[in-house]
Amino acid sequence: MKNKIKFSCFKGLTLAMLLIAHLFFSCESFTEVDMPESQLTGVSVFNNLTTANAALSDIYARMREDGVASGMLLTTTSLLANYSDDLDYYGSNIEQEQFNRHTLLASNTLLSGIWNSSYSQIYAINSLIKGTQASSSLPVEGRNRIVGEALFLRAFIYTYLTSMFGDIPYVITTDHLINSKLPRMSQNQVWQNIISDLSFAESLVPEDYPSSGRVRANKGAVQALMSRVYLYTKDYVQAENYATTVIGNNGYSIPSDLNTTFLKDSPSIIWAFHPGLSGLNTFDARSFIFSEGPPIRPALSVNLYNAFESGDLRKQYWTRTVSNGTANWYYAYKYKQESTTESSQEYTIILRIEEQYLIRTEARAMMGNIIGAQEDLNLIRNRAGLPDTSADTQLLLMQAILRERRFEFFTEQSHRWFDIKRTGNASSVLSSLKPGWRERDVLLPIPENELLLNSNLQPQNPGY
Amino acid sequence: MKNFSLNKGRPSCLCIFIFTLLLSFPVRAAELKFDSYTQRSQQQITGTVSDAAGSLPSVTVIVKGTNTSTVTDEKGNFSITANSTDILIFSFIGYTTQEITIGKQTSITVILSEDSTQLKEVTINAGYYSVKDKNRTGSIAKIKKGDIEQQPVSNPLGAMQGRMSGVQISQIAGTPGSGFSIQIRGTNSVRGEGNDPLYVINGVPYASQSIGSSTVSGSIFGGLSSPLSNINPVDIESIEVLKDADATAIYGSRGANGVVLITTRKGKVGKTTFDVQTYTSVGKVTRKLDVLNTKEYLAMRREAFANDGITEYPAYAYDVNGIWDQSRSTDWQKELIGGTANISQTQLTASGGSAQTQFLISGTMRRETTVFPGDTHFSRAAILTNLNHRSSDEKFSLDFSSSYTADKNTLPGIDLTRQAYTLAPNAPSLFGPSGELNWQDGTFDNPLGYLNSKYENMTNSLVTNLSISYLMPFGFTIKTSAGYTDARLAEFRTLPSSMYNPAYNPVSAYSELLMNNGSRQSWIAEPQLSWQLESDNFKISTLIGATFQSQNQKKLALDGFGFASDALINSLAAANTVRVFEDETIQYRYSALFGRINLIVKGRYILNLTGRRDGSSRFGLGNKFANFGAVGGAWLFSNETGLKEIKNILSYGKVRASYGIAGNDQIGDYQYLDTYQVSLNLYDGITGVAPSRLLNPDFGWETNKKLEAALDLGFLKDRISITIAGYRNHSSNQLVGIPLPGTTGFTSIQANLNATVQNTGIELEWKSANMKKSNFSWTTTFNVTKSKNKLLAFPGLETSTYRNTFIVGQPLGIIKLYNCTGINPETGIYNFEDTNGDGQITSSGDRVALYDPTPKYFGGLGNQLTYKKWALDFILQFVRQDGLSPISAFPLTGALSNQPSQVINHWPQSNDSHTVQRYTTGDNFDAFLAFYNYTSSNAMVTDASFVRLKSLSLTYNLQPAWTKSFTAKLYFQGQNLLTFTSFKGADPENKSLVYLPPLRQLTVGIQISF
Repeated sequence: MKNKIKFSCFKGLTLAMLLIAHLFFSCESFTEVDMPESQLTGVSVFNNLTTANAALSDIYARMREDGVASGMLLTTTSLLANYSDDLDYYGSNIEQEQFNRHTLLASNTLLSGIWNSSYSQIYAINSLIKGTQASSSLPVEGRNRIVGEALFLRAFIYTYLTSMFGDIPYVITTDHLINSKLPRMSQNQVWQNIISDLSFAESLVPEDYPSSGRVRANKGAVQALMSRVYLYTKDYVQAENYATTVIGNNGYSIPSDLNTTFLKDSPSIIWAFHPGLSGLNTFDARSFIFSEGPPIRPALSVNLYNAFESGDLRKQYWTRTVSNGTANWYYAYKYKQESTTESSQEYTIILRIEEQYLIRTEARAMMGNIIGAQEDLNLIRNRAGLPDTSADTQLLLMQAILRERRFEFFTEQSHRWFDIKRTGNASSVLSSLKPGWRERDVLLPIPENELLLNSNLQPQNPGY
Repeated sequence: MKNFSLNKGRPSCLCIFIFTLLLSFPVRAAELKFDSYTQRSQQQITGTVSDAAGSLPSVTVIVKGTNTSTVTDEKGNFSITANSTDILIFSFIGYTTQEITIGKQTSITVILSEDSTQLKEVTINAGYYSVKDKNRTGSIAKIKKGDIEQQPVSNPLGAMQGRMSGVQISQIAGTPGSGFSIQIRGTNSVRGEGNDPLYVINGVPYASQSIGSSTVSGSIFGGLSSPLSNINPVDIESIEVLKDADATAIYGSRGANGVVLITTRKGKVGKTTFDVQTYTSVGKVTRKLDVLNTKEYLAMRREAFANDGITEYPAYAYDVNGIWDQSRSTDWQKELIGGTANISQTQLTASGGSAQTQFLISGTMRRETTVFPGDTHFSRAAILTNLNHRSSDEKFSLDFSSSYTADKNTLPGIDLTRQAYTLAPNAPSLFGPSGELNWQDGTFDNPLGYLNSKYENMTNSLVTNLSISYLMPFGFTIKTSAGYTDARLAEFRTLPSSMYNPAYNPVSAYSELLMNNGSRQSWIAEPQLSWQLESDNFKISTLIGATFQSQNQKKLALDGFGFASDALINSLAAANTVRVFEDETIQYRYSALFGRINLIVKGRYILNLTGRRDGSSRFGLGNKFANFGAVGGAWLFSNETGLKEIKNILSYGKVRASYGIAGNDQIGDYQYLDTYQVSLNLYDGITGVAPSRLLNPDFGWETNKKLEAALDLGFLKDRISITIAGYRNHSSNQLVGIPLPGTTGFTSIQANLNATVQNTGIELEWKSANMKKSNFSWTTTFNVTKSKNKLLAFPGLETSTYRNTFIVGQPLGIIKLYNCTGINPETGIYNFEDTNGDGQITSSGDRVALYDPTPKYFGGLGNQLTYKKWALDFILQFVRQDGLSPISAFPLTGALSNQPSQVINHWPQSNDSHTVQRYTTGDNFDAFLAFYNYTSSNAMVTDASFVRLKSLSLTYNLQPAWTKSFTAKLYFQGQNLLTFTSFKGADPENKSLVYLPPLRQLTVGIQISF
């Protein structure tokens, strides 16, 4: 009897334990969870054109929000406009003030913001290129278009990064083990890579725009960027060639009414950012327009305002004055819709046809084609209500072109800073305007945190 | 821990069972007490139990060697069935246990005497099991209801400060609903968020991660709203903190950072009692920061301009160029954070029950305002229900508890603390002549504009638990514990255009409404089987169980903007545009198998083995499962016969030690997946998808090996009891987001870090009954913890991205700083040591000075005095630590911002004793750069140690002569009353110049029972 109880108890216990064990192990799959609803596996994204396009659209959108050409306050465009003589700063942001006064520290978080968001976009581009190229289920046309646009965007971002920082790490993979240890690539090599990416993109991207407006890159956009890159790298033959190709494209023309230049349907647009939601307009308008003086944000530099030639319609149409009775302040009024509208009216324009004329005039001038250079320059000047240029030597023409570019592109995508820098005029222009100016300022410092995390990026740009 | 790191896979786990079986059976066969248990003539025994003062209810009466037991009723009467040969055991906490042989008696009268040595009989909750304090092998700290209830805190962690050794708690912000940081035995993880302990309420894990959206809550909480602030402190019966391996390994993968067990109140046997507690409290910030007055400030500014060679003040220098009235002087701390917070709370409780069934129902209402201007407040309603039942044969038991809390928190859109410190003292007045916000023609960013921005959250939190157990024959108990939690959070923040300076041209089309709805449901089921066998010489307890837990979390955050009018801002439907910016569903599954074997031999040798095998959905295939376990032992040497003679002096003595391994899975969900996620970015009608993360599918568990040795001593009949514990924890294979340079596209990657972190420490706890007279008693408690953190090994540190963050041999928390060598007497600019001699001061080369913000030691000293009907209770909290000078958090000395008053002592004044460089507005680049280096230099490190009178309460107990059933307590309580510190910043506890300091509160309360 005693034994029997013991035995049955043993059995009971064993059974209970085995039951628990069974429960546990039959439920090893218990710890499997469903895929989260808002996520897709990396592979499946590139199995169909819609999701692959969504990945590409995301990159465009991020460039609009915080990319090197974004119009958002505290991003590259407004910071470098303060860094050059486009804007004066009246706000209280200590870090933007560092750009304005040329007291930039390598620890500036706006600076690391430019760096990190650019490389984050480049990662997404590299991931997109890798995924698209590996996919066997995408139609060839669609695949080519996506890869081509991606290469174009990568070249665009690198153009800005190398113009700001000089030698930079050039990332083309998604492997963080490689990317976290990359040394800097010489600026020359970076330019070569940019040109080769653009050449490849030119062969992949068709003439048409795949979008409702000119908000994605087509072949014209690729060529327009190529002419700029050739100009920056002083390959004037190619710069002229590509500018001529774009100018010859019937799709693009200069609107005669300066009030319409920055509207979303302007024929001069080669590439613009879609604002996202319908009814939204540009960040640029919100960043630059103010209504009371003294302003508490960047304002157009007084120096620029006073420098306009008399009769320049751009001063009349593209700037505005705010007065408090005793003093005046000015703001850029290229984009006029500060607020939302019934439907969007203005898009931030990244590439427009006017630039191609100014590229060609400069290339021609540098190659000694004075007449040809004057022709293009006069076209831009006449439309602004100004007489033909009197410049008739290469030197005078170069000065005239630099001035013309200033009045044409102020507060647009850092043109002014790159122009005075690449033509060797930064010091002469800024040393009198910016008390903090030093020779080292032609290059921005590599963000401090990057140097701390990746010692292969040493040394820091000189002087920082 | 080879014993426990069984091979992965099924067969290995069966080993645990077989091991358990093998171990239990020979022992069981050795002496089977229950075999001799046979039916004999049984009779009904009745009786009364009393003490010197009168009848004693709730005394446990057990028939020795059986499971038959009962408790006395409110008059001290009991009735039990037993044989004449049986022995009855009468026990009650705080009294000497008595054994009485029945013999021929059928009615027994027992008088129990009080016994301080009985303190060691107190049962400690260790989670899956409970253990008598004297038999404990692990380190468990405990606080009880009495320590918590009189403190006017809304978060239970607030009541624990200074009371537990090894547990460092500090308040992040004084704003209601904001969190506390808690570290149990040091920083284990490199990731700040990876150091949270596991919280368990009545056996149900409580996720401490917020379901809020940081975009919506903004900066108001100094992080996210803390879910722990949704636990009602006055509903808590006890909080136990498990610290060492012996106590935490049974929690396996979630025990690495310690476990906080919260037990809510239960009903007691006796007549139905009603209890009312109500208090009202006023609070103000603990400390103000000493800043410049208008005269000093303007002098600084003018000197800064003069230093920079600027004679004509620029247009934006409103404070000195005449736009702002230079005779104004405002104490902005008084204006913006100088208000009084009013707190009132009322709790009603009904409880009681028979020997079989007890219940408790309690309801709490709380309302709390803030020190910010405007209508901001926190309110709470909480209900606790508790039901316990034992069948009359004591075999079946059922425990049910349910706590529900509804909180509503209305706060300004941002914490105004930073504005309060930095606004120029001559900044314009907040209001214009007709009471409207004054923007001084756009020159003044009026901080009260932020009050037009409202943050509100509503949280509903439910935690229920049902536990059923059945006592089977032969010492087996089968038990199932099941729990369900449901937390829902609805929060929104409005950003109306009226909050902005009109100079920005704000229109209601810019107005924005952010809202987030988060919810988290979880269930847990834990079947368990335990077996106990007790004989004269040994006692064995075993436990085996399994855990299944599932948690689903959802978050949907929306953002609406473009309103026709600010008046419509609370309605998302009125927004022109609505955008989803967070849409997240997270599923978390967790399963485990755990066991425990505890052996007590001769009442003095104790061995405790615990183990757990865990599986978690947070890890990828092949990494889901891992084993954890610990061995603990204790020797109650005071029970040795040789020492019995000195029992009067050394009444209690125990050495204990434990070693084991626990883990950490706080890494977030789905991190091992290679995915693209839907982003918020719209472009040309297409919603974007973006890569979620850098892929690393191979990360696994973080492990923490804990070693502890401790000595528990009791002297003079335990009137003095001392515990000394030393520990050494090694945390390795840490789960971290390894920081990456931006060139990788991300700032970090989830991975196991091949580094070992050591935490060592010594804890001392002292408790003494200094005086114990009938009218007067005095008890002292004291605890102190000295801890040290050290990075033990980090292979490849020099080539890793942590190269400039960590140093092997130094604490994990160190911050590398420049070495400031004073002020150049000629230029008046700070000098720094060029350590690497490259001619310039660079972050990577010259930061050689070290600053470690973690406390060196901390603790608390408590005293409890009673005199007749009066009781005085106070606790002093002390922390020895370093902090940073407030200058480090202020803008450039000389810029348009007020400054801490120590900047007066500057170059070239004050001869050679000046500590602050020349003032500059920023135009002097060298001075500007030097200032920023200075804020990252060792000159900033100051002593931030403090001693704080954390809590003081004076209670008067009222017991009218005319009735025995009515008692009342009147009390006065002060929180954070006094602070002694040489710290120059605002508050040494939260050490922040951005978040509101903790509040000093004065409370008057009454508690009535009838």
